[in-house]
Amino acid sequence: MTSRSLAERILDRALPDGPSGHAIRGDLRQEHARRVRESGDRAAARWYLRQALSIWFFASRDGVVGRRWRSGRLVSDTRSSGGGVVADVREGVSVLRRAPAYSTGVVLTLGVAMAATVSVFAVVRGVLLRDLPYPEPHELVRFDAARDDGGYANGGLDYPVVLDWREGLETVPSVAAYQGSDGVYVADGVAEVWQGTAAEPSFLEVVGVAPFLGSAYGPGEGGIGDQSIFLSHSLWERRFAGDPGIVGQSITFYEAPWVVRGVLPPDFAYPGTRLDYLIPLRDTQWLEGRGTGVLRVIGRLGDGVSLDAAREELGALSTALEREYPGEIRTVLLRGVQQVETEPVRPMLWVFMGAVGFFLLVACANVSGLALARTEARRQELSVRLSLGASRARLARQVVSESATLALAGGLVGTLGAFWGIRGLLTLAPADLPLREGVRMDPLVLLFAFVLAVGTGVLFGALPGVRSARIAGVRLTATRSESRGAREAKRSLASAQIALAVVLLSGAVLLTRSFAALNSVPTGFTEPGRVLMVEMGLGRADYPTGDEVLSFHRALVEGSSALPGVVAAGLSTHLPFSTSGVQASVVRDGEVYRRGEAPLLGLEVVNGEYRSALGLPLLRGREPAIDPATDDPVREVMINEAGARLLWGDDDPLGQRFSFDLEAGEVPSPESFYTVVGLVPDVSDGALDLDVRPRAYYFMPDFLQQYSWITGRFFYLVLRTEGDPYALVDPLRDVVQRLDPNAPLRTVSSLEEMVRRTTMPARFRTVTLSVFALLAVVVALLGVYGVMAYGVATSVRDIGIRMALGAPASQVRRGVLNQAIRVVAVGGLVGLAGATLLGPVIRSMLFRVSPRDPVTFAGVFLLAVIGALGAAYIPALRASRIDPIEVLRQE
Amino acid sequence: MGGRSGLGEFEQLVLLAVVRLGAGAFGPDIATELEASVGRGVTRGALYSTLNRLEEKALLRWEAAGPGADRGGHIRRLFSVTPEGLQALRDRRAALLTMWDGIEGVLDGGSS
Repeated sequence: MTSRSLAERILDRALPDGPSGHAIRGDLRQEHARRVRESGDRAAARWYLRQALSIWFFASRDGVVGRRWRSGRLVSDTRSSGGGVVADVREGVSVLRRAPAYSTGVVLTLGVAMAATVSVFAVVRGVLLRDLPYPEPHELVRFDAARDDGGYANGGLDYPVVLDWREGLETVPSVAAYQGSDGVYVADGVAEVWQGTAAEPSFLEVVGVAPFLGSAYGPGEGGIGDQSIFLSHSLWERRFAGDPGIVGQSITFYEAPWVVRGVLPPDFAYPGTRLDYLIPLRDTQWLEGRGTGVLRVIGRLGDGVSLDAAREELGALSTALEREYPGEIRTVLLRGVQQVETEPVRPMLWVFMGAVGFFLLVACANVSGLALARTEARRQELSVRLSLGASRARLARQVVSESATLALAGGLVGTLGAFWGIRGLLTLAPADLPLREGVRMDPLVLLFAFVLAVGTGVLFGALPGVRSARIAGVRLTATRSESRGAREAKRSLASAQIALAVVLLSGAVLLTRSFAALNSVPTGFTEPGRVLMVEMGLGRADYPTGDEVLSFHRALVEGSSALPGVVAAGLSTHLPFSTSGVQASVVRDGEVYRRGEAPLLGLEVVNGEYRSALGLPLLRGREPAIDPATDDPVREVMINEAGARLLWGDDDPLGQRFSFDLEAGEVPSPESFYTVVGLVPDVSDGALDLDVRPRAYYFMPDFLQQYSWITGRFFYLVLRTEGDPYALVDPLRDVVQRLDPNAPLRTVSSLEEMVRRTTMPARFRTVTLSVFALLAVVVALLGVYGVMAYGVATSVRDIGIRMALGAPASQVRRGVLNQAIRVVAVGGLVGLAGATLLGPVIRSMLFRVSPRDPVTFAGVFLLAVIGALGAAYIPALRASRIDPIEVLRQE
Repeated sequence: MGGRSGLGEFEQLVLLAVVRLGAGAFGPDIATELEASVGRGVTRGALYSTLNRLEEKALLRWEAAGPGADRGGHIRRLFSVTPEGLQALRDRRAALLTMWDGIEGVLDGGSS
C-alpha cells in the first residue's frame, strides 16, 4: 500500500461525507499537486499522509470520526460518544468507574497473574536470553572431558592436549587453559583467603577483556610459574583502597612475593561468580603428564567458523592423537560457553515460564467469565445503542476496549508487583544460579509486560465482545434472565480453568513428592546437625615436609578436642557431601593393571578420630592401626560398601588386598598392596540423588610417608559437638591462631547445612511451582463459585417455581452440587490428559517418582472434586433457601 | 477583558488570516498565509478543525465555489469573517493593547 492510498483510506474514515469533507479533500489534492511540482512525488506523498493523519487525529478528538453520509443523509453513526480507539478507551474508563467491584476484581486477578508472569520472564530474560558480557560471546567455546576414563580422572583436561590443540586446531585459533586456585594473602598480621583463577597468558585475550589498570601479557610473559598477579576490581577497592599505585608493587601471596601486574575490569568474574585474582598457571608437576585432568579450557572460534566445523576438526585431531598416545586421550565435548553456563537451569526456567503461562490463562478465563456475566447484565443498554445506530462491530469493539483498559491497569499492577516477584524468585533461587546479576526489570521486560497486558485484554475480551454483538436487540424469554448460550459459555470457561489448574497442581504434587523422597534419602551420617566442617590450608614455606604437617595436624586435633562440647575431632583430605576428591585406578591381588579397564576407587586420606567425628559407624572390622614399635607403614584401609561391592562383589572384603598408583602393564610389587581392615557404610557424595562412589579411607601418617602428591596441607577439620556446631567457631579460631596465625579458617559450615544446600535446586523448583499451582487452583475454584452463584442468582424464578411445585430443598441443593461436579469432572479429566502429555517435560526434575504417577493424578482429581463441592456449597445452600412464595408473589 | 466568545490564540490567527486574504480565502491560501506569518508549519488537521469550530461559533462563514484545477472535481469553500467575528477580533485587540500599554519600552529591548 502506498502512502497516498493509505492517506485516502484514512481520509475516508475521518472526513464527513458532506460538502465540507469534499472541500477539504479538494484542498489537499490541490496542495499535493503543487508539492509534486516543487518537491517531487515522494515528498508530496509523505506530506499528504501526514496531513491525513493530522485530520484523523483532530476529527477523533472532536468526535467527528465515524459518521457515514450518503447522498447528503446520515446513514450510520458509529460514534456513540466519540469515535476511534482513543475515544473508546476514554469511554471504557468512565463505564468501568461505574462498576468498581467488577473492575477491581478483574484488575487484581490479572495483576497477580501478570506479576507472576513478568517476574518469571525477567529471570528467563536475564539468565537465558541475555548474552554474556563479553565481545562476540557466541564465539566463546568450552572444552570439557567426558568422564569415562582411567587415571586420576576428575572431568578436566591435560596440559599436553591443550598444547596439541593450540598447534593443530585451525577452527579455534585462540585457546586458554585455566584452573581454580586459592591462596592466602598476608599483610599486617592478617591472613585472608582469596579465590581466583590460574590461567595461561592468553586467557584475558580469549575472553575478550582488557585490564582496567595495567597491561595484558605480551609475548613471552605470564608463563608457567611467573609470579605476577592481576587483582579483581572489588578486591582492589576493598583491600588496597583503589590506589592505582599498587600496580608494579609487590605483595605477599601464596607465601611469596608477587608483582601486581594490573587490575581487572569491574564485575569481571569468569568463570564462576567469584574472582579475587588472576595468576599464571603454577605447578608443573600436575601439568606435565597426560591423564591428570586438572585443567579447564576455553577458546574462541575463528572468524565465521561454526561450532559444528570446530567439532569436526576436533574429532579428527583427537583421532590422530589417540593413535599417537593410545588410552590417554579422552572424549572431549565442545560447547558454546553461553550454553554450558545456562544448561543446568534451562529446563527448569522454561517449565516455570510454561507454568506461569498456564496460570495467566486461568486468570484470563476467570475474568472472561466475569466479563460475560457483565455483558449479559448490560443486554438492555446494548440493545438501546444498537437502535441508535451503533453497529454490532462497534459494540463488540467497545467491550474489547473495556477489557483492554482493565488489562492495561492489571498490567500496571502486575509490573509493580513484579519488582517484588523478581526479588522473591532470586531469594529462593540457589546461590549458583548463573548470570543472576543480569536479572532485573529492563526495557525488554517492560515491553513484554505491555504486550502481555494488551494481549490479555484482547484474549479475555474476545468472548464477551462477540457475545455483546450477538445479544444486542435479542429479547430473553420470560422465565430466564440468563440465556442457555451464556450459561454454557461460562461453564466451559470454568471447566477450562479447572483443567489448567489441574495440570499445574499435578506437576506441583509430583515435584513435592520428589522433594520429600530426596530429603528422606539417608545421608549415611548420624546427626549431621552436630558436625562442624572447617576447610583449612597450610603454607608450603612453613610446612615443607610431611613431618611438620603431621605435627600441626596432631596439635590441631588435640587443641580442638579440648574445646568444651567437642566429642570427637578428625581430619580428611576430602569434603564429604561434595564431588571434590581424587579417584585412582586400582588392581586387585593377582591382577595386572590395564589402563582404561581398571576399576576406579575414590581416595580419602584421614587422620585422628575422623570416623567418629563424622558419625560413620564401623560396620565390621576395625580402623587402621599405627604400629608404635616400627616406623614401617601399616598399609591398612577402611572401605565403604560401594567400594567393597565394586571390587569383590558379595565376598567378604576384610582381609582383601589391592594396589594403585601404577604404570600400564605393570604387576604391582608386594610392598604396594593395601589390606582392607574395616567396612563403613556408604556416604552421600554431593547430591542425594546421585549414586554413592566407591571409596577407601587411607590413614594419613602412612600416606604422607609414601606419596608426595597428597601433602596434607589442604584438609578439612571435622568436629562433632554436643550442642550447636557454630558455637565452636570463635573458640576454634583462637586455637588455630595460637598454633599458626598464618593458617586462617577458610570455609566453615555444619554438615547439615551442606546437605541442605544440595537440595536447594529441588526446593526452588518445588516451592515456585507449588505457589503458581496454588494460586491457579484458588482462582479456578473462585471461577467455579462464580459460575454457580451467578447461575443460581439468575435462575431464582425457575427454582422458586420448581419448589412451589413440590421439589424438596435437598433436591435443589443436590442439583447445584451436581452441576458443579460436572463442570469440574470435565475440566479435571481434560487436565489429567494434559498432565499425562506434559509429564515427561519434568521427568528430569523428579526423583523416584514417575511423571505419570497414577496415585498423584487420582489424588489431584479427588482434590479438584472436593474443592468444587466446597466452592459450590454456598450457592447450593442459597438455592435451597429460595422462598417459593416470595417468587410467586413477584410474578 | 472583552469577547463574548473566548478566542484561542490559533483561532485568532486563523480569523486574521481570513481578514487579510479578503474575498476568496480558501483552505490552501489560509494555510500559506498562516505559515508565512507564524513562521512554522500548520497541520491541516488543526486548521480545518479550527475553521469548523469558528463556523460553529458563528465567527466565520463559507460559500461553495466551483472546483478549479487539480482538485479532482471537489468544490471549494470560500471563507469570510462574519460581523460577530470582526467584533471578536476588535475585542481581543482592545484587550491586548490595554495590556501592552506602558511597556513598549520593555518590548523594544529595555529592561523592566
